[in-house]
Amino acid sequence: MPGVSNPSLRRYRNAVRKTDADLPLYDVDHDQDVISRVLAGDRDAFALLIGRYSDPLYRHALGMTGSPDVAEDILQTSYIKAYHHLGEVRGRFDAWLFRIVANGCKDWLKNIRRTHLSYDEDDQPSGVATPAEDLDRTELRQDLDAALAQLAPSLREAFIMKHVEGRSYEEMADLVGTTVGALKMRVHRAREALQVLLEEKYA
Amino acid sequence: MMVDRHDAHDNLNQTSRDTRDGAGSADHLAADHHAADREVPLPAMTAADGQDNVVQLWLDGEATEADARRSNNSAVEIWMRVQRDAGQMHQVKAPAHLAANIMAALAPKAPLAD
Repeated sequence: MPGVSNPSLRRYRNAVRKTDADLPLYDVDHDQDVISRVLAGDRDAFALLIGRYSDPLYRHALGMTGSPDVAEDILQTSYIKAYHHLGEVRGRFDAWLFRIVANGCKDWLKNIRRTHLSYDEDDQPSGVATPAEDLDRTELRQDLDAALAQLAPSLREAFIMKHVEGRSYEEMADLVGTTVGALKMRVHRAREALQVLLEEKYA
Repeated sequence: MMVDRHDAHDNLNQTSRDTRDGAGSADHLAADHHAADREVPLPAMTAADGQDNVVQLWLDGEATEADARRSNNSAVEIWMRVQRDAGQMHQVKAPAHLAANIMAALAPKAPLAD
């Protein structure tokens, strides 16, 4: 079974853990307090912001890129960039940070398409399934990743936020900085395209 | 007296990474809202589109699964599988070593307050 013997898959599963409860989505006051501490010289306080947001942001980057290694690189680069520009934060830190990560993902997708570089398929995640579900889920994940890769980045982003991250349209609008209507349209278009692509095999 | 604002579009061509990355988010948000306003509406629906629309409503929590199945059962089956898979993805957490790697890569000096 490819899902079991694949060494990259094992590495992926070792790299991720499961959680029983989601973290609170954001806490503006708490974030501002932490930012003030960091700007005042308490460098270690930045770890609180990393711990608070790295899981949902990692899921976003993983969903967008399909690669655990790339997702990790994007998060690391994004947090370092956020640290250097922390004094420029206005409003919600989580939305500001999300846009840095989201743009990192889109830049990566653009570069992949521009150079026609195909990243190592072994790096693609295939979910965290029980062994009995491995084959089916791995195949579906690969097909879903392949279908997602054919979508425009904005459609892919909207689909990932809605269906992988489980966000409401209102929350998506806050993070992306656009309207609920525009995001609904993107999600609907993404679903239509994915359904056509998946129906060929799974209907 | 009315005065023309010659600086109203001063930031129109601003493409610095800082703006793209979230800094200067007010301009960024305004630009995105304009872009959203320009998004082309979906074309008029056919009967087949209407079937899929019920599935879309179900996926948004605005129609029942039974209605969606009556409309397009095979599509519902596909989306049930996708949602199970997506649900597994939602449990994924960042690698445990990521926070330490980021902290180790940060500059020793505190960032400048704006």
